Amino acid sequence: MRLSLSGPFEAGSTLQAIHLFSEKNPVPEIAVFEFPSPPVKVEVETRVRLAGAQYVVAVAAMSDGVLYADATEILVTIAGCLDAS
Amino acid sequence: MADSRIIVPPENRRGEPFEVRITIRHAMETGYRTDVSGKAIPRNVIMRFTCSYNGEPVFTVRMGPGIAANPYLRFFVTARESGTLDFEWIDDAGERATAQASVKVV
Repeated sequence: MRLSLSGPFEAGSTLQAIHLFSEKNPVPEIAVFEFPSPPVKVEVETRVRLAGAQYVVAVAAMSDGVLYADATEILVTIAGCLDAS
Repeated sequence: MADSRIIVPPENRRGEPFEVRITIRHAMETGYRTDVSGKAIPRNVIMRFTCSYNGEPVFTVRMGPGIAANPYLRFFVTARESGTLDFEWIDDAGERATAQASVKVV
């Protein structure tokens, strides 16, 4: 899945981290992407495991404390990673 | 475990972001699977990944079992000067690995 963020933002506000959450996974926090130095272009792509079709939520934390969030519905037709329970 | 593949553009313009792609060979065991005898396979995922540009951290990822096996990451780094990108990651078993790529800035 691909995550991206584009401005403009408040002056002096830079992206610090993007938190990625799943509604249904046994561990809801999928990953945290951190940007120790302010990024010029924010686009991150990775491959994730999802326990079924669900909304996936991304929360971007800015240096001035502002949070931006977005959710998107992802359809999982065949689960590739079932837990034993 | 220390296997990885990295793709960085051969030349980059100063001040502009360039794309970095990396795949790491790792099972990313969730801890929820069992082996044939029904015994739980212990969780072992890469928990932390760091990318440093000329010694300064520019991108880090904290991962959990929600990241698929053989993690793939694509992200952007801003070109400043020629040098190296250092990648480092550590898994739950405490196994640490590193990789390096050189960056050319024109």
